[in-house]
Amino acid sequence: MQLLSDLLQSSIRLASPVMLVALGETLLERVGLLNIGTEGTMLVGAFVSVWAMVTTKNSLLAVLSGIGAGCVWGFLFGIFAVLLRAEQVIVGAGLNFLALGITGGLLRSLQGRELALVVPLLPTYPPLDSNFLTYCAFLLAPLATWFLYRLRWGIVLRACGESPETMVSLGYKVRSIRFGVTLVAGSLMGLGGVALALGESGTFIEGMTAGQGFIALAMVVLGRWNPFFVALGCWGFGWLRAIAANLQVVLPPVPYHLILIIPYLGALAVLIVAGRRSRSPSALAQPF
Amino acid sequence: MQRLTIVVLGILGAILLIGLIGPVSGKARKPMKVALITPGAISDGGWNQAAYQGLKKIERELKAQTAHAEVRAPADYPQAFRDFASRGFDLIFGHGFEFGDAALEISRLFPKSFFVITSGRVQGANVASLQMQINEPAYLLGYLAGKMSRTKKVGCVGGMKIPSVERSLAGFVAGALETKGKIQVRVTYTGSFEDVLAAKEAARALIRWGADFLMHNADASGIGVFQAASEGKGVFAFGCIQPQHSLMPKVVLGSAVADIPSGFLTIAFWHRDGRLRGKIYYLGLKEGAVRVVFNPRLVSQVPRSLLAELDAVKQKITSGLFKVPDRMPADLASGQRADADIAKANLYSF
Repeated sequence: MQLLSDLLQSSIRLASPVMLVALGETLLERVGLLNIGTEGTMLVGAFVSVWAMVTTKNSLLAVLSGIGAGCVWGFLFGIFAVLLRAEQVIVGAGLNFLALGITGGLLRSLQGRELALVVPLLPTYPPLDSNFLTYCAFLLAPLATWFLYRLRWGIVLRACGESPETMVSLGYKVRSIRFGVTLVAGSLMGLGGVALALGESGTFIEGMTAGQGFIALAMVVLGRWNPFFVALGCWGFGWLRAIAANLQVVLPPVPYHLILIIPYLGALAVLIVAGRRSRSPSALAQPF
Repeated sequence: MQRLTIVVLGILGAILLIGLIGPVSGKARKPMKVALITPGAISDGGWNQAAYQGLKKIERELKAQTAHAEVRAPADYPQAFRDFASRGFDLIFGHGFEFGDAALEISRLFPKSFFVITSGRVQGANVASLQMQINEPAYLLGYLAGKMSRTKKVGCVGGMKIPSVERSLAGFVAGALETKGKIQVRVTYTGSFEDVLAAKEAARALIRWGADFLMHNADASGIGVFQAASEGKGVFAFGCIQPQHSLMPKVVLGSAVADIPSGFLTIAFWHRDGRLRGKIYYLGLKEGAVRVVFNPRLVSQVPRSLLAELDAVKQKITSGLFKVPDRMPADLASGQRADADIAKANLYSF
């Protein structure tokens, strides 16, 4: 029982940053935009929040600045992908590299001769002993689903990703809607970075996202562009990671590589089974 | 529009001018040129930062001209060496065992440059390896942990199973097992040197299992191990490469420190004096290149008698009576030998 509750807690900790990013990406892909700059947006959110924490010592300000940084990255994506109709995959890749370079360069100048920038973690609250960003992530998933499938604006949003031409003919400003969603999605991804840096790590390290942004991208497909299932996928992935971490302790003679691939194998298996019936938004990644 | 063009051209021209003047004005009477290639970011507070400090130390002490490059993909290693060598760098450090093969290959084309591989096992006419015996201070920490552990369980978290990581953890494990107090040891790896979350969960798993002393060699992500230790009750952690107790003064009892900067400086001095040979240099406790650094705020937790005992063990090592192992004992050596491993592992980590 103790083991189960420990694993539950670990899975939640591991899942929440990815979940926030994946939810942002889900909204974005639902309006027809593919932003693979998840990793970079997370990184700037993480970095700026730690930086703000160091300078202001105020966790609320730090969280807000992390969100703001993510929003700026979303804005940049919007400029290129929506306004200038650039190839979205290229823009996303560029934003990833830009984030890695900028955060790394700034960190080096801020850190100076120190070993690392260490900041206090966000306070945790019962019953899950988690910070409020974790609760946010788990609450946002059903909320986003409700929004997308039950509210008029959710339907408008999804329609923009299916047939933007139709929406224009109906008088909707598709590009404005898309631009707005990039800002929201960027903020969510930045928040994911904040959850990673301030929520769990208490520091910023160059490249600390370590592929979690890309995992979030995969989770969107795995969850069939439905926020609820996307979040469920992230949580399941967190479970598998938590189990893998514990398996190494229980099974010392097994090569660690084999254990570390368990979460990825699991995700792949789900993708094969569930992916057969999945269909991406029709206008996904097409410049409009 | 025209004005904009003029402004842009002006800026470009200025950059070009600065670029042209820069190297000329900075030129002294043929200073030594030293380059460093690291496999990761120099802000990591560990392995790569120490190397960069070494490079800067060489720059100061020898008035050398220095350059640094961060190269992650193994496919780019030869090009990085070739680039520095063809630009006339006299001494090129490849910071990590994984650079060995590329250095050997390129060294034959550039006999005037000298290649030094940290924690490498390669040697050649103009290739040397620098082995920092980090397993020696790690052994002392393991011994300390084995004696002090109340649960009789200690654990290690490594990034990837590469020689420099395995070396330090193997020393720790050997030290812990040496205390003969029915100590149990577990070694886990996260597969990354940057994934703090993974390191934290790995450490939490060890703590859940019962470990109350944790060693890490997960470079920058090692801070996750400290975070986990600070959430546990009565759990201590040890730092690696750098004296890391400043990061978390409440849980980091001490660190196995490798004085990589001094090692680099020594190599550079030897090279200047023409004494550097193509062989493997081992620098350990005896040479003062590695050491245990305790956290001054926590060292009082260690019984005095134990500190004296550690001193005796250290004497045995420095006098050469005892050689600290640098490989894991067979039953803990999960997986195959690491040598071929890192190249593959790095391929997939951008």
